[in-house]
Amino acid sequence: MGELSIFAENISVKFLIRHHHAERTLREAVLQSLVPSRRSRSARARQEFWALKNVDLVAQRGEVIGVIGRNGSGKSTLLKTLAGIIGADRGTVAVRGRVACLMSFGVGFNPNLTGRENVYLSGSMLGLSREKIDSIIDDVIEFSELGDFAHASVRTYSKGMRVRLGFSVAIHISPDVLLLDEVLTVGDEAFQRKAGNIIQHIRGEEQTVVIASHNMQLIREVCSRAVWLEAGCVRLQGEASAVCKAYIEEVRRTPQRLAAAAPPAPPSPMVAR
Amino acid sequence: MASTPSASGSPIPAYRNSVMANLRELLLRRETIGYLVSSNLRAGHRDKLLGNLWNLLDPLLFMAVYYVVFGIGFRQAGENPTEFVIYLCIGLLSFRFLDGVVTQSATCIRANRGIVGEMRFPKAVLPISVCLSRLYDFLWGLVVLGVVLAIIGHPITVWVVGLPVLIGIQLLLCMGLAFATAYIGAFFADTPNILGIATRLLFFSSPIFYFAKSEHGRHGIVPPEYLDLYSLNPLVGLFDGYRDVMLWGRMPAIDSISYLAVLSVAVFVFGFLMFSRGERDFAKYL
Repeated sequence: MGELSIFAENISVKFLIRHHHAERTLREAVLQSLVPSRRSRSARARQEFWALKNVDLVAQRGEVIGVIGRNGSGKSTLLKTLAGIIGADRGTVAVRGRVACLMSFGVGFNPNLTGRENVYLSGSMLGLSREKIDSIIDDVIEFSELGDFAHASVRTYSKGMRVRLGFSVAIHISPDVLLLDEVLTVGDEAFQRKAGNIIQHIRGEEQTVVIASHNMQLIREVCSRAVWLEAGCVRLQGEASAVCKAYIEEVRRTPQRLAAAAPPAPPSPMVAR
Repeated sequence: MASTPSASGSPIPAYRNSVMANLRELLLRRETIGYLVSSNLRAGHRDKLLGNLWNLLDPLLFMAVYYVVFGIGFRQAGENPTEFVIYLCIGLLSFRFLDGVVTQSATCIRANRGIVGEMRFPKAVLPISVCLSRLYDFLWGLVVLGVVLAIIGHPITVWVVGLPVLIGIQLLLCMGLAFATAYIGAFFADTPNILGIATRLLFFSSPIFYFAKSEHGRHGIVPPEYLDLYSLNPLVGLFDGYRDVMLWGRMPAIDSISYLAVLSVAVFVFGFLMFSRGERDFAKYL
């Protein structure tokens, strides 16, 4: 403890939102450069969107930090920026040591390889040597509860199996910083409990953990501090249960405004709790 | 490199996106590239009944189809069909290497969006592994060709030592193109369509199934006054070089090979710089 682990100062991340076309095409780009009149129309069609605005986040080694906020408030972007996956357009991001980042959707596995082979692939991408992976592979497979599926190609996995494997890799490579984006709510009940226990144990150890989640109970239980993001800005930062409480109160106070601002969504766990 | 001030610990180095840091990190990722190459190869061969036999059958069948079309169909084979088959196969194999690299690189960032969007790693491992996978296929093709040459008793000369050099130059060219198309393909969704047209154009404007200039008792179809212009296509020198060392058994033309080498280095450097510049934005626009 006491050593700085994450230092993010004044970071802002910009996305270009496009209205006309779903994706940029070369055809369009060439036409724009040839025909000046099209350029202005296209410039109007493109709009800047700041997913993060002047966010500060500092963590000491061993801290477990929760990130909460509504959908689209910038939680995933913040985690990806901390992981160095997305570069910050402004500000500084510095993280000490090896970073493992786990997203709830997709989990970066190669469908052509078996679960086992994927552990080697993602391990090496995260900078581990083959020897190091050899030494953890059995634990990874066991923790993920994949059984015989470890030798089947990831193509055949269910979503829960992928997430279990991803989580298992992330904790076994013993990263200095572990970033979890709504991961713990994907597996089944038993696995969730097991994963929650692991996070509990990590707390106070060498690892720094940042968890983005809608599960307030989880955040309150495992995090020492929490950051509440709203529209890309830090709304409140501080002791986890206090931030969660303020957030829940805010959500309860303004149900109409939220319903009007957002398309109808399935009831989220945060309201229920 | 920026360091951050802090009261409680030593400064942590911030994330960097410099070209040098990128290169250094790449050198540490040889194992990653190995895994990616094997997964790439597996994707093409594993699920098939014939398994590894494809490595042999694929180039053979491929060469057979083109021989039937151009050799027999278009009557290019002429007096000496064996010679024409070898001529054709050398061009085809080399072109297929380049074509495969360019086509696959254009989608490599998007195809791996799961990894690109969730891990920090030098993205250049993706186009590099595409190149090495296609190189592997190319080498298998050359082995098959070599066996065919041995069976028909084609004489092998000392100039065959030039083959690795030519392969190296082509690999460099392919890597440069792979970086460039991977970069463009990451940002523009219609890149594969346009590349499809571009590579087809390249196929017909390179001496693969025809002779460009009249030699070896063949009629060249490119008018002599346009030969200089035609030879600006670096593939002309490349294919001629391969054929010189494997088919004609003579020294490749130094001027066209040096032109090819210089251009390949330039394409490689340009492609890598371009790719490095776009790297930090890939995850954003997937």
